[in-house]
Amino acid sequence: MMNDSNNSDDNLSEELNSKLNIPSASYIEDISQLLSNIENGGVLGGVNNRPVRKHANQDTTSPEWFKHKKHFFIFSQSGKPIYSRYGDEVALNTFMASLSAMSSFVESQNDTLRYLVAGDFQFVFLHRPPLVLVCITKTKEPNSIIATQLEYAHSLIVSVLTQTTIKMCIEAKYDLRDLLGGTDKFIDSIIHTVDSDLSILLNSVQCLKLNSNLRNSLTNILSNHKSDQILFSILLSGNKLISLVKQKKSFQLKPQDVHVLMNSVSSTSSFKESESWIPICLPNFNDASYLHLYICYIYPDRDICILLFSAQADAFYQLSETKKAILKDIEETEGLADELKKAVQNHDYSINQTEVPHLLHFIYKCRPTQFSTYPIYSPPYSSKPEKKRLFRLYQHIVNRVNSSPQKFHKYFYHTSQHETVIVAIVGHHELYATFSPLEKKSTVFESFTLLLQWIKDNEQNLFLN
Amino acid sequence: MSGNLDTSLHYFLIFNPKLGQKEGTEHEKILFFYPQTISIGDQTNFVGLTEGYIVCTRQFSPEKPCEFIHTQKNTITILSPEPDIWIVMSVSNPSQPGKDAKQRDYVEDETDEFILKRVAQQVYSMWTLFNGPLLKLPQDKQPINYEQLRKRVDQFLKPYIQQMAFDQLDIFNSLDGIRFLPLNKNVYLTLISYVNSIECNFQSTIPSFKFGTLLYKDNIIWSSLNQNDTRSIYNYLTNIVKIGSDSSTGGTSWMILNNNGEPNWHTKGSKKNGFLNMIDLTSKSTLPFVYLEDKEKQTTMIIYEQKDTIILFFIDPVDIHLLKFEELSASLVSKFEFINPILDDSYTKKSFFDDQYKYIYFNQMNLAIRASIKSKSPELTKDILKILNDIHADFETSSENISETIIKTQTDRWIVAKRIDFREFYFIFDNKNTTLLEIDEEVKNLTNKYFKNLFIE
Repeated sequence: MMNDSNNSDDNLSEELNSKLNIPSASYIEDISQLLSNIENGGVLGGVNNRPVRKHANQDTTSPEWFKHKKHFFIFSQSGKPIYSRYGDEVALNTFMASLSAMSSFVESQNDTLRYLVAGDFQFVFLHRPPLVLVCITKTKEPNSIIATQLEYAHSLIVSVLTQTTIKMCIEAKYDLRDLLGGTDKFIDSIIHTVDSDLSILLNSVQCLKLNSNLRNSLTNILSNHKSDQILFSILLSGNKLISLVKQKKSFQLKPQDVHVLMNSVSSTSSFKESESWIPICLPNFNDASYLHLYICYIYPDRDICILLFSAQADAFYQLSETKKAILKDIEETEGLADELKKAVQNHDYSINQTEVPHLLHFIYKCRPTQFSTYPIYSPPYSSKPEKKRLFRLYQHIVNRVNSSPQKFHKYFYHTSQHETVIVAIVGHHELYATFSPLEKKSTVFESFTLLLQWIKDNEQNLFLN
Repeated sequence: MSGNLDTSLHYFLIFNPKLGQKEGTEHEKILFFYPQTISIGDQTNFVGLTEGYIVCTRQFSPEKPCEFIHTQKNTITILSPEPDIWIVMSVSNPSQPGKDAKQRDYVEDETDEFILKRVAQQVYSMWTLFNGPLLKLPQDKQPINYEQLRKRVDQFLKPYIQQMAFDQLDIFNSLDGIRFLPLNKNVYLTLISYVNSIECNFQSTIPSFKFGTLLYKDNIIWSSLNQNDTRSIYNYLTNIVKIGSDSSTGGTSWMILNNNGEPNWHTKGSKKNGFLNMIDLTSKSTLPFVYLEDKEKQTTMIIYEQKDTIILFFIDPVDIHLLKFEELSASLVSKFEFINPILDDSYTKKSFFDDQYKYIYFNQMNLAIRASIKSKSPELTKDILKILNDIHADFETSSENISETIIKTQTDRWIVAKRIDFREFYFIFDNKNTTLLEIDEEVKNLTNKYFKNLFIE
């Protein structure tokens, strides 16, 4: 299972280098080398080597290009194209320049363009100098939520390059796309994720549902192997957090960073094949420099992997040893590994398991810890359009309820054609529960109370402590 | 700049993109710009930017190009009410001093785009009511004299825009409803027969003489006009002439024709019994023309007011010399003296329910609005206003067809909003310690008790 066991150290580092699809720390430290690399066709072999993407041949001359529901564009403040979700960004040069002209005119008035509304379309702008991100959409999502989605795309780019490198490249008038080559698929993937992920909608992280004793054992094991080298030790499965240990209590890992991290890990299939060592920047932790991330799937068949963060570029071998020790402890604790794998398999739960009558769906966030939980969609939310519709409804309500962070509404009760959604927000949690619009208010209220009790009873297994 | 700044007008612009095609003459596109304190260079830039927004968005949305633009500091609405005419209204977002002395913090989500759109539409409606379309061709089919048009638009719109309170726009502006006076059936029928007899009486000699609208204070009793014309005239009467408000507050103005036959705001007058828009009974030439349903044809509007009853008549301008104003006035005086107390009775009676509950009721079908909360009242804090605006916007725009929204705010106020077909209800409760179920029960009770027959007495 472990590819590294037969490799000598030299082989391993060679293999690692070949697997890097992101400029490694040593390149970045030497700026002149970095720039000369770009000039010589790019660190990563340049734009030409990028895989062909869907709709890549479309541009503003193709009628079908305008029919996409949701466009994303990234360009530099001077209008140089960097990314387009659909179509070839070079062919879209003129179009992006016109978007850039609008935003820079407003900027010249000492103002900032936020969004335009044109019929069914919204044009949402996000300024993150020296980059501008734009979403053009007819999905009718709240503008503030689209702005958050653009922020995710921006964070992803920062996680690959760091804000320092982005600034430096733009200032030196180098084409950022040469450095980002191959990152398009990460951006594609995060754009896709933010459009359906309920934990991101609640600005939270989903935890693996796990017996609290087992979780404590795992956390203890991670804690036992804490060292000065390791800033964070994380155990996760897919987009679910299993355990997290920080070197210092004061360290903050924002949900946005966790999701950007999960996106990068899960969109690179080669990580599953061997240990990896990559530079990554956590934008909300420190957007100026890289951390070094050790990635190893300890149980690839269950997507369970260990992530160890270090500030030191040469800590790979030490972290690899740490992982071995952690894995040994997990394996040696009776039943732990099996129970963990079982938990991954059994994570998904349906509303039936809550035994709350009349309930159709719910989402819950624990506010102080920013962890969330929600059941899988079950009938009437079986088809893709119905799932999306409920997601859009939650987006709308989350936006209305949290109109400003300090002034969230205490209660919100919404009835429309297909559902009733009741929301309660207190200091500790926010709960959104969905019912049929035909239910009586008293029935809804009763079920809502039962649901809160069920979450309280299961809190220990649903979330990290 | 220091202290807190409320929403205010940034600029109001009307332009024709077909003009000023040659480089260096772009400023000729501008038909109206307010305020003139903004340099001609910046004015031209705003036109250019608007054209840029339109061209870019039109690629995606050909039928409805750019309607709203939100920036950190401004909220802008764009409308094109007739071909080749674009109206741009930019409003400054409220702001307060930031932590850093050089920075200001802008409140970006307080300015409701639907209210702005409605207000810009009202400005245009006011223009068309008294002037017809902006680009109507002169009767001799000569090309439009743009110099003259610019002068007239400035003369008409500048004073109108200057008196608008942009810091006091609220849900009433976006509903843009009409208050109707609920009347006892017998009173209502008596009134109609009065009005009919007057109309018949004068029609026998002047066929173009027509009854328009009857009001008591700021409530409409009956209107023979279509909904849009009724709404335009109602806005003119309540917001400009300020009927129904204390006559002592002053600030009222009305529209009269000047010596050149151009509509002009007449601001010196105070309210009086008799014909409005006339200096005295002999100066018929000051009576303004209005453009109703058929925007091409002008008709003379006659407004008669006695105590708080107001009646409107329309007449073809060529027939105006036939109308004997003394006779009309005499026949109105006798009838009005009798009905005034009855109307006053109905007007004051309705406030019993209004004292007990804070509510707004709006019917999209006939634009009827009823409310115990007054526009601009302290009851409507900024938070509450934003919530009401948001709920109304959701009712109007959501594809989910929302029928009910209940909110308990941070400050423990309950807001209940319901929509049934074309009717919208909004209730505000201040009972801190009630539950959602109790509030629901109360709303049920009071709608059953009062609303069932409140509007169809």
